[in-house]
Amino acid sequence: MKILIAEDEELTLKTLELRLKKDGHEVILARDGREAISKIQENLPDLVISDIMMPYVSGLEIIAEIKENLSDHKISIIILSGMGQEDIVLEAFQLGADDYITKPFSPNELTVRVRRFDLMKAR
Amino acid sequence: MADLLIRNAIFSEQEENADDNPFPITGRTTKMLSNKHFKRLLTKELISAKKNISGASAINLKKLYIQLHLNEDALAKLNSSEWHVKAQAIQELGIMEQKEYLNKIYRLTNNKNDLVRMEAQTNIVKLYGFKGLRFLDVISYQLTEWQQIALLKELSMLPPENFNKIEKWLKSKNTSVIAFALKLTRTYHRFELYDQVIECLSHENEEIRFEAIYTLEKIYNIDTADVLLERYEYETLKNQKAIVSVMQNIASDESIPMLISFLNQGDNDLKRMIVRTVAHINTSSLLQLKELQTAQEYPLEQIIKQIEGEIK
Repeated sequence: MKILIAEDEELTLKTLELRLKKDGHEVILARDGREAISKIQENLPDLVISDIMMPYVSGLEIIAEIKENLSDHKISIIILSGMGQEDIVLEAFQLGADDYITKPFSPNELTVRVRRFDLMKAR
Repeated sequence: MADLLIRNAIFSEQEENADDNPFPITGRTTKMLSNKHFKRLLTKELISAKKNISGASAINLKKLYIQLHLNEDALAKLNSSEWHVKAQAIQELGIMEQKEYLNKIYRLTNNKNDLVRMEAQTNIVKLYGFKGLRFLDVISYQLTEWQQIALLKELSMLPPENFNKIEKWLKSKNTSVIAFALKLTRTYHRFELYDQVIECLSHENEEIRFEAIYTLEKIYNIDTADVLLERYEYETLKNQKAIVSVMQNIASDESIPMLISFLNQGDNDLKRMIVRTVAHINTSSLLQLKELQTAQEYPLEQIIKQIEGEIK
């Protein structure tokens, strides 16, 4: 799968990248929301994994952009949220997010969640 | 280099013997560890990673932290005379789940510096859950409103536990401990503490009575509305407003005449709250209000119209 990760924290970004590459995915990195939107439009990934709190453009705005302008491309979205951000997660789902992972997250859990989307895509 | 070390620890979860063996540390890294700037950067990165990663990878990060003796550095910082260094060390030990430093952190829960105190209290709860709240038995400094919220947030991340010390804290000499105990009572719906909460309604401290009123809203029974209405005339304006607000959720039609009688005093905001509460209990009671002698006068006339508009 082609996966775009939008995360402003370098170490988390690299951790996600390593794990997903190890799982055999093609990974595109974005370090802020603006870069994420531009790379999503350019690369049309199958899955976007995005943090909520990011510089310039938030994860919620990324979801809105995908749903409004790229809805023909069937891009799935997983949101990375902090503990106690239930309201924001709910808003993300209302905007069209498909799943969420709460930080701190286990890389193994990430693999399982991403695999689910991979299977759905293969069907 | 710090990044690489941490990433190796995160992904060594797949290794067969990861549990017992130390992580391989190169000679260059060992040398770099004598550089305090590198050590500081590594610690910062390690903490940041630990905040975002869970499961086996998080255990590995803890293991690496100890293997590099960074816990000993944190311990030294804990004894620093500078408050911000001390506060940072507490936070670090909390995030890295270093439970063996409980006693040292616990002693700081009543430190004279408010930020050290707050960090110590929050991290004790982070490490020990509800049991960590035992510092409430002894603290002499006040818990700020902000700190009370921070502690409740920390507790909300834990599975609820049947902790049994709230009754004792409701009788604390520290008024902020009583206020926090009342918040705990309502957050966890501790109905068995009803009588103790009622006692708090007679406390000399206005803030405690205020908290008690809002706590009763969550654990009320058939008598609560009457108890609060009886207290009303002895209360401050702030607490009268709290009582009227709580009545919206716990009162019945029988409370309406008494609530209407309160319209003779108080400011316009209180009067508006009373009319809204009365209408909320029973919308037809607005007719009762319109029959009052003062219903055609300022401000009641305007208030009734406003609330009528709200409930349409």
